[in-house]
Amino acid sequence: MKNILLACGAGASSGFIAQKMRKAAQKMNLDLDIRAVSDTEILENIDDVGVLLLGPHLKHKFADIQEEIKEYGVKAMIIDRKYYATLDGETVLKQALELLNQE
Amino acid sequence: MEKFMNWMSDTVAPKMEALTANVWLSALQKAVIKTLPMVLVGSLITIYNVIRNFIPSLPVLTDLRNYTFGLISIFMVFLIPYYVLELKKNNKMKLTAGFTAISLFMILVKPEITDAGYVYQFSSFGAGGMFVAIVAGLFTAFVINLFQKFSFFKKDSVIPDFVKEWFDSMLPIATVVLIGWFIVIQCNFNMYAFIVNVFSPLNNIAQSLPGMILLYLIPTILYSVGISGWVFQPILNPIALVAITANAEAIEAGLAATQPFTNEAVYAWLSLGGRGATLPLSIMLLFAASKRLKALGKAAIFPSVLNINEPIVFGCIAWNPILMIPMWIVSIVLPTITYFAQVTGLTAIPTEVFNMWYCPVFISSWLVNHNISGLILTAVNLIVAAAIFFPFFKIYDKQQLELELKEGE
Repeated sequence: MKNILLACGAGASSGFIAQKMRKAAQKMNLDLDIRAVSDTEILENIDDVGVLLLGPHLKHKFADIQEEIKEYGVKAMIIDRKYYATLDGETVLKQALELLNQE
Repeated sequence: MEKFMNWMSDTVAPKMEALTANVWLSALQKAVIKTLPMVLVGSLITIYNVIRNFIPSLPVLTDLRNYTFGLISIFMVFLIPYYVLELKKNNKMKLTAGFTAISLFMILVKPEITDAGYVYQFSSFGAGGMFVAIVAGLFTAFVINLFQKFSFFKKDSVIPDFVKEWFDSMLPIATVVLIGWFIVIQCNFNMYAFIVNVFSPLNNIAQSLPGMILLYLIPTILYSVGISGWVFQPILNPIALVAITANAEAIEAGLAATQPFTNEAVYAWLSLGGRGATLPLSIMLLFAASKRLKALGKAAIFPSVLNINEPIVFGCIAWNPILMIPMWIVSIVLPTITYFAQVTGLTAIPTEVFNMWYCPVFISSWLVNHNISGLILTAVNLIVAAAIFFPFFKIYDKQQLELELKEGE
């Protein structure tokens, strides 16, 4: 199973989503690692990551980050504002899994 | 208003985005964030000192702060060229670049040469040397980058590769230290003092009332259109760390602290519940008539207590003029109150580093100046922020409620 990495300015707000996603993953009996880091530390944490999720306030960096992680075969997406705001870990997890399983 | 919003989205936002994508600035940002844990250990000692006030028999641990936060310029000067080269895909040279920048920095700091050896001023290694570290780091990265395209040897040279590598990395290192040697040692020019002087107007502006307002307001405005406030750290953090260090040194020398714009002041009195003082708003959301806003309030209240307000900002403020406007007003009014409270002596100016921004309000207020007046200032600012947000919140809540009722029909 590939892991999920979240990133935002300091890894703080995304940390809350990550925590909710871990809860949701537990409920679904999924064995995967979900962590949140600062967007400056993505490359140091990229091993074994399948999907990278970015906070909506990092939209302006999305293209650059996508370019950076291309060689690692990691898929990336921006977390929808709506789900980020309400810390809806379950929906975000579902979206991440969908992206992970896409060919 | 619509015109303004269009201007923000079509002109300002893309420009800011381009700026943050800049290699040199993102390297600075990475360096600032990477050194944060070292600053936080310093903050830990500040908390410890509060406890020590009550139990004076505990050992003095201030040295732990001196050898972590107090070495911040050395960490920065290593990391800046390291990250510039990493971002420029010159991974081969990034560590060497870091070492070279330390060498250059040690030359610039200009030790006093005595019979006993080279005597360094320890304070230059801390936040006091921050701007010198930034200049030295960027300069080193610049020189090493120039050499990237250049090699002593032709591609088909018979010289073994490892020898070529030695020469190719030696030359840029030698160039950097030679320039440092020439300016500082040969010409006996005090580059350190020069750089500090060049940046001191910037510091002075930051520490004035308009400076304090703008440095708080501009990142808030950009945050309110969805650009992370962290992109300003490369500018704000050096200014704030230099200021708190200057305050600490003033107190130690028996003088009065004079720098009101510090991270400590921002965390204790301005960013109550996160940038833009949104804590009162998140409490109002809990009592909203609109279901959506109430749900948002419930989700966001705990992060808000820890001064994390991305949920609030993305849930109802970003690109929503009704709530963006009060957030901006708050970001003008609160810095003004806080500036005057500090310079008039109504509350003590913070003198000890405390950068734990996720520390809940009131606790952080106490930790930064150990004074009841600090708590009162936080309370006043919270009430003012609440008063500013309230009418706007009411309008928005009503609007959302009507929308929900319409959808329900």
